Amino acid sequence: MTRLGAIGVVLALTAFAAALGLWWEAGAWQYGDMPTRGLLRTGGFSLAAVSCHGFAIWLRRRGA
Amino acid sequence: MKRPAYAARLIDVFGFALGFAAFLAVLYYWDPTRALIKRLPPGADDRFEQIPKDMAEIPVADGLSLRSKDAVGEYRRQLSRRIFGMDNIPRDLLPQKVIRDVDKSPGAVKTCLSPTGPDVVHLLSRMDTIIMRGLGCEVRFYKGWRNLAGVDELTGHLMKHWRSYAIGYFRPIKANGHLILYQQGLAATYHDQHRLIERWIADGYTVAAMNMPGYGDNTCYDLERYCDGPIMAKRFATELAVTFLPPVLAVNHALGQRPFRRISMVGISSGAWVTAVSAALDPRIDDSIPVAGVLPLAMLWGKETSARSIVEGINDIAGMLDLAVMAADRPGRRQLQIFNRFDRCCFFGSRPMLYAGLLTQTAGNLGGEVEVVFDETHARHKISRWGLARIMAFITENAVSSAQGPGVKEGG
Repeated sequence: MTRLGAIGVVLALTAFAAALGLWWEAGAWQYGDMPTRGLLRTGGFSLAAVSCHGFAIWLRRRGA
Repeated sequence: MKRPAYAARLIDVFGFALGFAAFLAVLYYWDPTRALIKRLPPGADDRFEQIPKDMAEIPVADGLSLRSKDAVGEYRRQLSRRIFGMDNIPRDLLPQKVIRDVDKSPGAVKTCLSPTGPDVVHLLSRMDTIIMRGLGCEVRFYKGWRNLAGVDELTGHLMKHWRSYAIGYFRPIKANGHLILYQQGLAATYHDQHRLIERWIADGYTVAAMNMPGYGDNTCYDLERYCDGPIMAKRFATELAVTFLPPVLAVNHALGQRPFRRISMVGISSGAWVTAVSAALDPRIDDSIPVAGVLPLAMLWGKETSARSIVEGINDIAGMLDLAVMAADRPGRRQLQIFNRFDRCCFFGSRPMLYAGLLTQTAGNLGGEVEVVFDETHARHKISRWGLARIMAFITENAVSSAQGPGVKEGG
């Protein structure tokens, strides 16, 4: 994994973990400090980011 | 060899951008950072902290015509005549039908629009705004609540095959003798506030939850359940009665079940307007807390003007400032108005500061109390954690003072 990829994965996972923690701590509902919609959007971006970096690793291995 | 390496690098950059977007999403959605973001743009100070120039010129004091205790009774009589077609609120009127323990046997329901229950519905993004969620469907998800004895549904048919009401009456096992009326606003049902009601029940409060006309069960969508029989009475087949009768019926029903030391009413958005009118009309309501709503009609702008239709039919009798004073017309009756200063929907900013002092002083002359506070912890249209803490402190403080004196309410 490249350094950019590693930073991207850490950023995405940290953001998702933070969103999940804030959502859960405030009652795990739409009207909490972190709304459910916010958790879903953050989760969507994180998942897409991690998938991209995974795909990039796969491409490099395939090309190597 | 070169092409996959180039593509992989491109995808890495794209992935990094998405990771950064995830980070920004947290900042955008989390209440404290969202409130900070709202304050950043140029002009935000004028929008949220200052009173707009055109508003500052409004002669606010003219909007408060009620100055004496004697006038309160007369205003109340006129309002009651306009809304219910009678000199006093119908204190003896009970709900047309009471479906007991719907949590144990919900009975036949037409179609459950959110069969997955509140938690999963909220996970489905916009599905949380479903406006037709009915108690008969949702109640099975409330069964596990701590201290919940049962849920009754109080219903009635008001306009033939068009308008009904359905009040969710939540009974605690260990009751603290305090009734909370909760009035939801538009574009949602009280089921969206399940965590709030759950907490109140756990604390021992009895809760009567209501939706706006046309929302949740307040329609004849489920004809067989709500609109099968005759209408309650012709005098209640008006838009005003359809809006303001359910809180009166909820109090009548509650007092018929058991005595209460204190009755509070909380409403959000359009529900705040119903709360303001109900508390002014019904002296049995001790504390009223309108949240994120309720301004004099001359101060409304943008989408706020849709709230005008709720009170337009009575505004010539009593304006919003009069209603606030009527809700705090004797010692022990108080109103707490909560505004979300950075509300991204409506009723934001500092406009209430124009009349807050006047309200406090006038209500104080009658022995009551009106307080206006601003919630600065978020930028959404909701009751926040801070707002709920203020509400509970307000309710509890009043409950303590009422427990020290007489004032147990009973039905009849």
